Amino acid sequence: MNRILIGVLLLCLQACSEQVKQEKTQEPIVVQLFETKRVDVSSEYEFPATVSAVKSVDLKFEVSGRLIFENLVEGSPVAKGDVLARIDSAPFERQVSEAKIRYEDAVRNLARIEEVFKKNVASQSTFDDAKSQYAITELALANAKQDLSYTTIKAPFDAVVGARLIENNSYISAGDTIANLQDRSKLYFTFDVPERVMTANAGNRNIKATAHIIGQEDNIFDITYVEHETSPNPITQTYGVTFALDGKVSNLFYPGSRASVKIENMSEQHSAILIPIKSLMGDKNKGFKVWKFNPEMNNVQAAPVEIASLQGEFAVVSSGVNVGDKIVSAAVNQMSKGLKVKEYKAEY
Amino acid sequence: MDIARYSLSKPINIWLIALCFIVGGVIAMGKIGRLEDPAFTIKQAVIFTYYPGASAEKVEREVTEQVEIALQQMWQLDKLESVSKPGFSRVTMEVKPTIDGPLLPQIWDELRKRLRDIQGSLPLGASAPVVIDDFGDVYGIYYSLTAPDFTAYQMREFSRQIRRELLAVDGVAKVQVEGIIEEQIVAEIDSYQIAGLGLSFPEIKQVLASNLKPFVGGRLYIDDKQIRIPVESSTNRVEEIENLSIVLPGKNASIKIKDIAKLSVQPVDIPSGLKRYNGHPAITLGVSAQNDINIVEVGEKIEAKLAQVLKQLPAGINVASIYDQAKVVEKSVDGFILNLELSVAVVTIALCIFMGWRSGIVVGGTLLITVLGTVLIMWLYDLQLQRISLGAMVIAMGMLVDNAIVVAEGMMLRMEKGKSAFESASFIVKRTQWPLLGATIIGIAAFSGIGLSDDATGEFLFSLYAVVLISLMLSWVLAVSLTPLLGRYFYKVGQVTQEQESHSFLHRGYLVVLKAALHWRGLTLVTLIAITITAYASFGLIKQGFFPPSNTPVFFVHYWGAQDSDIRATEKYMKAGEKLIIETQGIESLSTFIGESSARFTLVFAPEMPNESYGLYLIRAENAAEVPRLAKEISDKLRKNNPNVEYFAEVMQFGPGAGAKIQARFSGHDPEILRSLSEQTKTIFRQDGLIRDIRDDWREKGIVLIPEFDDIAAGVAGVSRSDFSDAVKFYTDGLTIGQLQDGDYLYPIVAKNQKQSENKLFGLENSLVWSSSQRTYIPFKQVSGNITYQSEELLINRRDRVRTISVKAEAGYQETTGEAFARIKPLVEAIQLPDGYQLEWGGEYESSRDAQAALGQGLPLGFLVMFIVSVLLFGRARQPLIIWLIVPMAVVGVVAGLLIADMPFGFMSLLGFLSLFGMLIKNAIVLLEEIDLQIDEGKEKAVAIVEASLSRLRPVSLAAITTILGVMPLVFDPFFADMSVTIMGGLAFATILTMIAVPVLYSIFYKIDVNRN
Repeated sequence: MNRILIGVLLLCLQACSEQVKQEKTQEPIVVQLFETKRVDVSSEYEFPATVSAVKSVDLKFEVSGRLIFENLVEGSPVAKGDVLARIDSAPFERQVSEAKIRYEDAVRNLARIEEVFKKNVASQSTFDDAKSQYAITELALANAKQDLSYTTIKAPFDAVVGARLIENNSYISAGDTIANLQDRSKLYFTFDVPERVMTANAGNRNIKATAHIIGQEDNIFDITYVEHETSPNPITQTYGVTFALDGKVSNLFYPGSRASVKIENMSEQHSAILIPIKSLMGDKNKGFKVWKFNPEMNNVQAAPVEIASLQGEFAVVSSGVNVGDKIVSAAVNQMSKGLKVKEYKAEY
Repeated sequence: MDIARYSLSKPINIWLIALCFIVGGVIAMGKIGRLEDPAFTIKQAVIFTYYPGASAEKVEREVTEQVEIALQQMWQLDKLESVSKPGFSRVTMEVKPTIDGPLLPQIWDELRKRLRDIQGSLPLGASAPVVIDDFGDVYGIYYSLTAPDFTAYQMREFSRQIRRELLAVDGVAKVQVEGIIEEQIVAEIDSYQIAGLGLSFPEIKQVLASNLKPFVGGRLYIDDKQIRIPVESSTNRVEEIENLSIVLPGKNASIKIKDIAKLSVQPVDIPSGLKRYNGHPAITLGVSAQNDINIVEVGEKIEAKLAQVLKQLPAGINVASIYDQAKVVEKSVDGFILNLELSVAVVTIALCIFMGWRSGIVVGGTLLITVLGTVLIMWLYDLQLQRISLGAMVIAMGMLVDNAIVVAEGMMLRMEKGKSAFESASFIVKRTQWPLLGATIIGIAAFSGIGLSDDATGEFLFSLYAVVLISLMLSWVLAVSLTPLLGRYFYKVGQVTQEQESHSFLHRGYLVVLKAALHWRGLTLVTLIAITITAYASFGLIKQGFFPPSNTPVFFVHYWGAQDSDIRATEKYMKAGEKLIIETQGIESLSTFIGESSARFTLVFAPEMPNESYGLYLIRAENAAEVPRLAKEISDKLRKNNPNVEYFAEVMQFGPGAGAKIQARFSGHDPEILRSLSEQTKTIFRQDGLIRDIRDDWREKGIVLIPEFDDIAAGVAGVSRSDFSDAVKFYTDGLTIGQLQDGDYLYPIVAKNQKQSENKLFGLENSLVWSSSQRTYIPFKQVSGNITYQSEELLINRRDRVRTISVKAEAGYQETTGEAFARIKPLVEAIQLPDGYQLEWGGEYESSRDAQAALGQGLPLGFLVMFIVSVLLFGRARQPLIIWLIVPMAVVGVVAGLLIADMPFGFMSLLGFLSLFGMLIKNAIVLLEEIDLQIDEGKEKAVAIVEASLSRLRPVSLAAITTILGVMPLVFDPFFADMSVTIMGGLAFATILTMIAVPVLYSIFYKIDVNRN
């Protein structure tokens, strides 16, 4: 309808319009240019990891009895040799005394029979019995003494009490776990690495790894490589990799926490050319182009580029522009081939 | 047939008619419908289909194509345009213009049926096509609701209440609420945490779905009664979701949602459109009134209702009017009625001065009754007072007076000569009734081309033709019946029979000139031809405006960012621009529309389709006169502030705005070739130097980032594409995991990664993907290798099923489109088109061609009628020939008038021009008839020419002067200004033309030599 209305007018106008000439002026357009720069880029990965201690040992009594002493405060450090728990030793002491009496009796008996045997009064078998009896009672005594010593548990290494599972005065059976000790001289970060990342970096140790605990995003630690699995998890096809952190900071967090590990591949580091995403324009065949400034002619020309990756507001270009080229970084859609332009210089 | 004698002998009958017209006209004035523009159906429907995730090309191939094929089979189809965007298809169907408005609903029904039929063949994942057929609805009363101190939720509630109340107002058809801040419930989830717990999105979805839906419950039959047992459904609060428990798979423990997710209500990331008013977020309420209703009355009722509703709402809510059609209509109609009254008064006074008060009353009275009668008949025939019909009345004014003056003047002269009223009336009416009727029919026929064409123009302009027809026929009827009657009461029979009237100075002067012109008739003719040619030649000097700029102090600035820009960027830059606009002096209010246009608040405003890169500033200035300056100042400022985007200022005009004036359309298959053709054309345009605003409608390509999906690794790990897509969504713009119904609003529940690093891409590459078959999380890198970067088409436009790119431009600031077009046309046509590619010209070129085709049917018929009537009147060949030789000369006065007044020649001037034809022909006919009559009565031919001309001098110049004075008040009305100047200038010259050229041509044609003395 609009068209028809206007058309009505045109009918009347078309025949009788006169040319009004106007001077052709093509002033160069002021454009903002961006000088491409070379920057170092390296590939970076991030993985969710779990934190674990170097060693984690369960403490158990080898004898049964009632617990009479414990020094197990969860989370507290203990030194090697510290007494951590003790069960009532009285029955074991009595057993030692009993064994001792039997042993002393056997010693005396053996001495007597040996005397008689030397006089050829006692038979060889009687003498052998007494010898055996002596050895048995000696062993029984040693056993009783050992059991007595088992009533006390001492710290096997410098550690932190991870968990306490018993209460004082409770009855403990032999083999019950009473506590868990963790060796925090180091903390391990374990995570799954996708197979393709693993393959791409096989044998590469030139990496820089950092980690932070979830919830403590500001505390970033350097971690070092420890070991990796060489066969993948059958389901996920990923490889377990372990990195370690020195135990100095171990009081800041605990095994079992979730962490995020960032690994920078230093050997894949290469320099690349960055250009602002804003300067990109779609081109033929799903490609891209930028408008390159030609300082001699003071005009712009299209240059096809290939994007390798995106980095924030910049695109990493793998081909098409060279370092130092100036490209139009604003109002790219108003550019055209050979358009005269002037560089915009900020006033400050 | 002696009408005059009848009316004088049976005055009561005539008085009855007059009384009917007076009383009826006054009643009709109060009751007649008032609109801004004629009610007009836009015969378009838009079909939207969503196909999330598909590229533009895929959408085009799989959805748009199917929809288009379905539509193509409809015989009612005229034009088909489509746009395919990533994830979205829009097909616009235009119905043949010859199909009448009332048939449309039936057509839309058929359209829906056809779309239902193809629904099965649409690809999986595509939504059902949605048909929007109320596209042309005008939301003429347009409010913005701002409440800066209230929350989005509260604002939504307020708008809901206001809408409910407004819908209850009589005469309101629809209330469209837009700009509600869409909200969503965001569940921020730490992906590593749920990975540790072994929880997956499908499980969370399941929990939400099975707890948030409404439940049916059961029913008991006890003791003959029915007892319903409902299941208490959720109270639909965020807290409720937080407290839902999920059982951890493989364990007997359960965990609450709040332990794994932080829930909050937030505005959606990608709103579909934002509205702002004076720098505050706003909700707009567009009220559309029922058809054919007095919008002014409805407007008053709405205002009262609104005030009443606002009283019940808390303070701090500001409802401002963005556009008030009721006020605009009231002002224009009232203004027009005032002008009409003024015109009648001016005409009456002019007549009183030139012909004496008696004639003033006789003619003025006839005029008044004619106008009232016209309004009455309009009312009875359901025609409304609106721009076009009001324009028609003004146009008709000039011709209305003519008939009455001819009769009154003739009667007065005759009675002065001592003849009785009966005799005089009968004489003059008998003598002039047929010429006047013929001239009146010719006047009407001049407009028949526009009014009777059976297409869109005909529908829009029908009221113009109807009003001209009614008022002119009425004026003739009243001129031959009522005028003699009034004359009988007011005119006195002359006492003395003056043999030789004392000629006035004017008469004597005219006599000298006429005799001189007749004497040197060759020279006169050459002079007239020379003047006419000069006029045509200087037509180009006249400014070309199509529709006059509106006197509503509103203008637009359109914002266009690159096609791939995000709505958030558009919002950011639009907000920055707002500040610049608000601080500009002379701005009253600013409405900002982001992502989509405002509603169609006036018929001639064509809203832009939703587009994230589009924005619109609707600026109301304090003063309409300041608008052009402000429009330029503001767009310059905005451009300087942000050169990355394009700003186009547009001044609101009375008539329809048009798209780009120069358009070259290339159609073909390969987008690359189309783009290269477009590029070549743009280069040609640019090299032209003058042509500006060069752009194309496929716009910029966008960046697409394609993460590889490694089928083998994913197969081993049991990751499906759906798992993969969930992960991509979760780590980028959020994954919808459920919905929450709250009242009439549906909140989507969207899961997002808690750890929002600035580098989302890095986050995605190092994310985890849930494997639904292995029930475990897999690193993203395990199933996806490289990411490839590509550019892709964001807009694929098609016309009638062929891919089409349109290169658009505007002509230079100081030239007409025609000139610019003539320069570039051969250059563009010289571009080598590959086989199967076509070039088509759009814009004004196409409009004029279409219009020629449409008018080609109507205009010739109109002119044929005019010609036949003019021949029939005389029964001779030479007289009509004289008339038709004079007609082209009418342009002289028009050109002179417009040049002196420095007015543009626009649509309204064209209408004035057509009415001028009628008046010119009428005067010529009456004069020629007079000459013929006098010759028939036995006067010497040379004497007859002079005598007849002399006797017509007074009525012709009187009619001209009264008409000129009558339209003079309209010079101050912006809508009618150029038309009134056209009529004034044209008529002034036409009078001279009639009085000099007609006798001269007559004397040439009949070889009558007139002596100078």
